[in-house]
Amino acid sequence: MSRYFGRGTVLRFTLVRLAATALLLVAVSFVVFALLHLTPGDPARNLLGPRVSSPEILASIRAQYHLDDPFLSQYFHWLGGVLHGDFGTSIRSNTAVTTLLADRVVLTAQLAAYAFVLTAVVAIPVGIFAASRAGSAVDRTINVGAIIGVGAPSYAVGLLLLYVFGVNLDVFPVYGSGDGFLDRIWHLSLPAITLALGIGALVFKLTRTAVLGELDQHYVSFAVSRGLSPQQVRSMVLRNAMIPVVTSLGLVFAFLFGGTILVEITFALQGIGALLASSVTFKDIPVVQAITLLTAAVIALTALAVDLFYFAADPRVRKRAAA
Amino acid sequence: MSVSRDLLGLVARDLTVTGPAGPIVTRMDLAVRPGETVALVGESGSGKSMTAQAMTGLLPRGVTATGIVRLNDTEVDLANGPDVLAGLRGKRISLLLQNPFTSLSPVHRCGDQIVAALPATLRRSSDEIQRRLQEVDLPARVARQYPFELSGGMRQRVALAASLASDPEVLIGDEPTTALDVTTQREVLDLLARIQRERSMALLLITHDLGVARERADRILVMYAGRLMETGTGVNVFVSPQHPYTAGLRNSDPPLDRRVVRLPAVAGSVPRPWDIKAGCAFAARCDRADDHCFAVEPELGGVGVGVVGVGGEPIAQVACWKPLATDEAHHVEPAAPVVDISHPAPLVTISHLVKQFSRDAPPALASVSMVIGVGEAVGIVGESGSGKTTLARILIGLEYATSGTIDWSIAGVPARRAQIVFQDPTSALNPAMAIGAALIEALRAGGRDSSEMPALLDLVGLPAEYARRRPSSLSGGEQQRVAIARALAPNPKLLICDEPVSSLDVSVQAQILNLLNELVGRLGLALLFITHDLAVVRQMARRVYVMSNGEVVESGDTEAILTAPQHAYTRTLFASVPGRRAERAGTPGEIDE
Amino acid sequence: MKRPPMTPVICAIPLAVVAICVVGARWIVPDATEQDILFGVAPAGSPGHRFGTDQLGRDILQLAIAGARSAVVGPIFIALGSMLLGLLLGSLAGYLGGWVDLLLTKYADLLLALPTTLIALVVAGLIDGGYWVTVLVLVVLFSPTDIRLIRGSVLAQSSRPYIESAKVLGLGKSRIMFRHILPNVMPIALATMLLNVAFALVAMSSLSFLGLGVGPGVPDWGRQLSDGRDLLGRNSAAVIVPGVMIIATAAAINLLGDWIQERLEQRARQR
Repeated sequence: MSRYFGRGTVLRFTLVRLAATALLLVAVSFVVFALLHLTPGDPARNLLGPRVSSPEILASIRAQYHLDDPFLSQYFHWLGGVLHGDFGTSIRSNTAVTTLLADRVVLTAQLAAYAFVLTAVVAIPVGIFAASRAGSAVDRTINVGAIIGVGAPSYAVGLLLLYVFGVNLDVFPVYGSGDGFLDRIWHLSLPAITLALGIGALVFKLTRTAVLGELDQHYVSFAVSRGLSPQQVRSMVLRNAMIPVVTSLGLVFAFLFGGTILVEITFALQGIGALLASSVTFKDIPVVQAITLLTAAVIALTALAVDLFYFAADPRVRKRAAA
Repeated sequence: MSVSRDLLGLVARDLTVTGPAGPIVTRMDLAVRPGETVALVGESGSGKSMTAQAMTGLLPRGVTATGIVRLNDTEVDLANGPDVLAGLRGKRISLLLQNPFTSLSPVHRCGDQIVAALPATLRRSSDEIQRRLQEVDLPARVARQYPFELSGGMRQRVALAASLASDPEVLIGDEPTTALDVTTQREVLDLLARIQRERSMALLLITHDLGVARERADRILVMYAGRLMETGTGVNVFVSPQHPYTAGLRNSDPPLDRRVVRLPAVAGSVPRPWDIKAGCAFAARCDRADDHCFAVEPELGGVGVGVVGVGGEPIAQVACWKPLATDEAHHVEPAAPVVDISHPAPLVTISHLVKQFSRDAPPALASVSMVIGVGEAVGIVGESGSGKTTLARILIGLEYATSGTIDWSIAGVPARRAQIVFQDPTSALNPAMAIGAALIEALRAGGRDSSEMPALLDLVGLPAEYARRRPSSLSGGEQQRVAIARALAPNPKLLICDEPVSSLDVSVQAQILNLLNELVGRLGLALLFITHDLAVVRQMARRVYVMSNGEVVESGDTEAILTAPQHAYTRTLFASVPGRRAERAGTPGEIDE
Repeated sequence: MKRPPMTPVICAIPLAVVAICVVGARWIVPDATEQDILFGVAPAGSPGHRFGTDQLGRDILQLAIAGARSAVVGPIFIALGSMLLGLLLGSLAGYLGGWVDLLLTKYADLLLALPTTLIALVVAGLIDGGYWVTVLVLVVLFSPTDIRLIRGSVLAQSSRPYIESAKVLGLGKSRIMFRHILPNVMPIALATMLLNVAFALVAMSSLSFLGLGVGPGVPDWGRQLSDGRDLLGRNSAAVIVPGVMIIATAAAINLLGDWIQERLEQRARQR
């Protein structure tokens, strides 16, 4: 592959995309920072939270957070802290935000990874299968299931699954996140399945559409007419369809984050999503800011990875970039 | 052409293709011998592509076929399902498709795609790939390139090499050159002919282009609405056609060598094969049809004593109750050679027009100058990329020129100066708007009263009750008439037509060309007719500009240029028109050839 | 792919039921929110309460019927509002192009960089303004997708020859937009709006599940599910009844919307 295009093109492409990503994150960080001032009420009061207030305490808060400085300098001050890994202190628990996050990030990451793997392993093959049987009763049934799956709210599905498997059948535990590797998997199974149902339905639809789209193309009938074996035709189609499918996996990543919030609350998991929900209710703004910014960063980097994948997989994109 | 007498080649008997709405092809018989080229000619809906797909087992879902297909010594009964042909595909019979831009997988290299059908050991051999590239006159570098890096003609050669990979005995080309430029068409057809000779293949060429059939085929089969109408050699079919449809088709094709007063057109539009319940499929459009023709469907029968083929079956056959006698084929009256001494006052003068779309690409227009006189019919001829469409769009105000001037000799709103008719009538009409409403809107925009709408419909030969209909319920020819009516509504002084008949069936093309000529004469319009087809421009324009790569390479009186082209490009264009050589050998009306 | 025409009929049944609940809750179940704390939780199958009661003594089924209104009305407004914004800003962006288009596209991109649930949670949560403020927030958050959709649709139509013919005829920009482009864009817009109702339904009920949006004591499916979570085991119907109702309603809307979209695509392909 590197024989085909010079190193220069890859580097240039990556740098351009990195710059665009960085710009986007800067814009997001600005909005995230502004959340403090956009929240109704006096920022100092909000930062104080439910603690006892007095003019002196408020004044010390103002000094601590530089609230009397011009807006932009406040922003840069905050941004500087962020780039050093310092997101401030949680109002609720009075611990460093970073520490709070570090405790919970692992659980959320495990849940997300579990759901992601389930999705990829199930939804994509089923999507390919449905496309090859397009129009049949099997295909239509799976499609109906997928449409229901995409539209069903994850917390409702989660609770129903909890009822069936947790309470009724007692296969999976109802609460908690477990200790040790296998125990963790067992505890995370229902939440991951809940997440995977919603996302998997979406990936299934996108895969099916992508493969169907390729099957309709003339090059497929030309390949068949030349006497290529069904396996050869299939691999040709998949090579083409892979591009939109992997792109869709990247898109789905964004949905994953919205879903973990609800699923963690439903299954009482101490992950980042649950922390965000409770922090919002509590108006613990530094925590909210940190989680939002981190989420944006992860999503933006995923989008960058998808772009790079596109670059590697589709020769037409490479040609356009080299031009 | 050596026709081997022991091998029969490709033979199909009683081929019937049925779709969800009804029969698409009805009881087709055909035969192509090794080394022979047979052309299957027909317009849209004739079922020619379906025939090819049925013979290779590539019918779409919901469409089935019955009949016998025989390939040399192997016989297959289609009633057993399309899978019986799976073993034959590629290895014994191969299909070359129309669109080179979509026939190849975009993410695989050309070399790999060519040898994909070969066993694994050969697939890895770069010598094998090179050998096959050489056979289709492609340079070695193509092996590592992707399809999108190649031109249409080169892609079609790659596709050709790919379809020949397993060395089939029979090749079916489904409109293999229709999507290509005229000059590239000739190259690819020459290549096909050479390869066929070298491999002693049987070649079935499916086309709607009569010129191609005339020039390349040993025998021609004419299809209409899923049925065979006539078969025979080029001379049989085109010099003395027996079937009224064949005669009509041939006459509708604008002749390249002279201008005619009026193209004899076939009335009506091509029906869908399953709509014909009884009798001859062509009866509704035939001016010779009687009650018997409407009641009973004619069978294909041999005519002409003594015209017999190898196996004893007659070569020339026709399915008609009232076939034309040899001298009955309509003569087309040539127009009197016009010595045009009138120099009309200029309506619009274009001076040194330049259009640059982007800084890196060459300019779409590189200093073009033209004049169109009041009431004058002017043509622009060029292939794709010549800049002819860009020029029209600038003239009509849809684009702006980078530099240069356009001077109109009349004042007034741009809408009343010039109007345009596009190539594809379906997308040129608002699908959500009734035709009457669309025309009224156009009339009002031109400052005329809405009560003139019925007259406008009548002007283009459409019945008054069409006003309530939506475009999707009209045929392609009818839609184009509506588009013309709409363009004429504001009474423009210049009507620009950009390839107005290229999307239409041949039998309908002549109707529209006649209509345009008649309207231009009646309304005193100036006409700017843009096309790639030299024969068409000859019928439509007094003066012509030949464009290539954004420049005017030759201009002048149409008759003069087409009789004796001066510029090298014009000569190449002229020589590339299929059937030109054959035309001189068998045109009706030419008695003393 | 042929769908049996049964689809709209099958979907219409649960939707009709929901509609009745929304409109007629006041008369069908007037006492739905009456609490009887002393009565407490009763399991499903208890006399007088087919599906039992929750911690506050409220009948599960009655509460669910009453909760339909809060769950459905807001989302309808969200879908309407979002599509109106989409039509307005999308047509402007698509037809005018230039910096208007650039601005709107960048705004849409920025908003779409983060998952909807997250932004909805953060914004609605921090503002904390109640049901209709949340509806407004969601209208703003949903609009970028609709703006993109309409903009794309308008752009696609604008380059087609029939629009160019209209320009050449000298028709004014607003006439072309309203008489030619929009009528051809409307079918997709309407089908998408229906699907947006389903998305908004999920979004709003998710927010109320998390404690935002509706006030306490107001019947709502999401809130009911949140309360019902603690009752799993004691009266699981507290979770099943509203859960099934939400999923069924969302599914019916999605199936119907998908069916309509497929019909539209078929028609477009024929042309």
